[in-house]
Amino acid sequence: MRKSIAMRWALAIAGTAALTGATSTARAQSFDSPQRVDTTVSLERGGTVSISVWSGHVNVTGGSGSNVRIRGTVERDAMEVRARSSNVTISMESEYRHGGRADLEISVPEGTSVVIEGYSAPYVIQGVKASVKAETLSGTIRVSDAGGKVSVGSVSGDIKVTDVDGDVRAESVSGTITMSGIDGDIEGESVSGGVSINRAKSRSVRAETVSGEIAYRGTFDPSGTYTFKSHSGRLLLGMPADAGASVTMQTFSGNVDSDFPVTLESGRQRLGHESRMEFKVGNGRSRVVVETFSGDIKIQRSTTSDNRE
Amino acid sequence: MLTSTTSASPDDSADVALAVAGDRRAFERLYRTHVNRVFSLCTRMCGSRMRGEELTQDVFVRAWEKLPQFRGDAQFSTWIHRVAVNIVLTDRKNEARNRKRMVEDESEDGETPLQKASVTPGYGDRMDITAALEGLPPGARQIFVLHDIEGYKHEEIAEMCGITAGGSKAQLHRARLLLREALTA
Amino acid sequence: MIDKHLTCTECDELFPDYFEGELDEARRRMIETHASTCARCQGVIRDIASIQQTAANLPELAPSRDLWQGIEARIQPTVVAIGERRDGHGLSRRMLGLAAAALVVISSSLTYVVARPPASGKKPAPVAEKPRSSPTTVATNATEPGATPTTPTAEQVDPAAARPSALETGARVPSVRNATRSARTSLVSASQLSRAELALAPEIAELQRTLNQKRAELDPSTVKIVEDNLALIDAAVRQARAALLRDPASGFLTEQLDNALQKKVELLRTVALLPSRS
Repeated sequence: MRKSIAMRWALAIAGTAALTGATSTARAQSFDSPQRVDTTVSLERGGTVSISVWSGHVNVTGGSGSNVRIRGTVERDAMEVRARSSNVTISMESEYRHGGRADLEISVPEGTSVVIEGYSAPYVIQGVKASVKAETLSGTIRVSDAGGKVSVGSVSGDIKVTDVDGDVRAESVSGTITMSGIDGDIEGESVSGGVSINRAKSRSVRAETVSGEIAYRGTFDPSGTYTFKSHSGRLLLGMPADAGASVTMQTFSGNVDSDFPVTLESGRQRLGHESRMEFKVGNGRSRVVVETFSGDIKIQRSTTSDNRE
Repeated sequence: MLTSTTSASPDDSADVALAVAGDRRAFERLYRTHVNRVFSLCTRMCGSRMRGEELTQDVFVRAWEKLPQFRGDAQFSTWIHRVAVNIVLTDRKNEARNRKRMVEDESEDGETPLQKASVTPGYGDRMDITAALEGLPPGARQIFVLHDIEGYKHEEIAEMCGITAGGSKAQLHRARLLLREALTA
Repeated sequence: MIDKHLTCTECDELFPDYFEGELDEARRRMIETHASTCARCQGVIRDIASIQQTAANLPELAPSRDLWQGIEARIQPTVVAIGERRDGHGLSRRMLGLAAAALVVISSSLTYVVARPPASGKKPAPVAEKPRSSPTTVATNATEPGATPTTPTAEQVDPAAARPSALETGARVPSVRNATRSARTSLVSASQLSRAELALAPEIAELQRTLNQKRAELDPSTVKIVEDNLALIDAAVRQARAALLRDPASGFLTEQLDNALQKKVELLRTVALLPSRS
């Protein structure tokens, strides 16, 4: 996370420092009325596009070609584009109290990593097939068809990540997090928003909330670990009957409803509501941990078709 | 199950309570009380004294970290024993090999030469079993240690090792037969 | 099929269950009958029984040296830069200047509290060791000259995980019968706070002060979201703490409380580093 800010500061400081390759700068300056922008700069394969906006929306789309094209309107602030051979930065230089608005459609070559920081702008990032890092305060974040590491965070914006071939980490305070079709490690945390994970093929899943609901439908890899924790949120797990999992569940005061027969941990006496409950499905190879304080736990027997595409 | 050469361990509960609260001196006392037992388990299960010492340290470090989760409703010795088993079973250096052997009842590939115990009239002499253990394939060795030496039941072993109780029994029997072979050399 | 006379091969198949005492009476007798006239199987039974017997009575081994030093070195609490979080947590820092100032303030007050002797009040639980005298700094990730707080005697603290010995006094009430009922009053006194609460309390207090300052600078809807969620987490902390007071031995509940506190710290940190409107 520190790297993005470092990048920004590097921009500000290294404004005149010449890095390898040509540096070109474009400015769109406007003060009162929105101004159109249409800028194209070239970018190497595997490069990075970094975007920093305040409000408005940003759509980034990966495609063929080797250029970054930025189209849209910019209001109230200066937008600056700095292009180096391996990275392009697009930033709003905020001279105004409330920052400026930029509505941008950006197309990038496939394989370009994307980094976005914003305040209230919603982002949509699709088809870049490379790593994505996006943070916002209240904007929503939609990422689809990425590859490599996806790391997204918001305070109140909802987050939706689909079809990623890589690890995903998503955090929010009140936003809901929905992840679908992830083939990699998954981490999802929200305080009051829910975390919903579907069609996951992962060997490491961790989902935590305080009051948000957690739902998981995915595979249980024999060497995998799956951890689901909430304080008062409901936990809902879809467990295929052909899975192999050792599941331990513990809750202080939540109800437990399981389609699979559950045994109290052997040898322990039941201390109020606190006993650990266990059950095994199939060969019991993967490890599943489910914990709540007061949230209800529901383990459903799902057919495998629920968990695959 | 092990005959302890140290005096019967005193009631640990006071030291445990202090250690849970962060008292390192109390934890050291617990260490001194339980180290030999933990070391014996680790060494016999992994087949090497040197690795056993490293693993013993790992066990106590992990026990310190997990102390808050110790519920006090079971004996501390039982609990730290369990920690030790987990550490040995997930020992990364051996993990891949162990897993394979746990699940497939394959024959040893000769990576550790079977140590022939010395021929003495006292068949099944104590020292010889420990030595002979080193020559067993890891999976069989660990199950033998867990069952015949440490006293775990097959169901417990199955749960800990991620195998079936039937598989545990089969591995155990194989281990015993191998030991028998080694000891009658 | 009940075969009155077993072959050696059949015995071999039954041996695993036989030695586990899991064969039914009939089959057990069949094996013993066979063994009475078969030297080979008799030998197997005798030897395996001997192995079982010996294994059950093996002496303890002892390490070649004292391993405590190595262990002790690894259970020392570690330094964590206050601005640093567990990998990946929280949003990035936009206002670097403000962030650095906040972090410096947090860290200096943290070391100050750690160095201060425990507040008067409850008699602390017995502690066998003194705080170490190694010099410590709680590092910040903004290296500003003149802003590195140092305290010569305080133990280094990892608010997330380790056990600061300087705060051992007032640590959690031991979970044994010795704990007096009076300790478990409804007032949350120092002795009832968990280790994590004590470790995190100074940072939480400092971050809350920062939040109060920031309130004016953030837009109202963000403030509302933050306060609503903080209230949620505070409720979770209260619930976990109350449950833990009734069952102090519970490792599960300790974890629940620690988790809730950690969430609080993370949220406060996130807020402290949000960009302001101005």
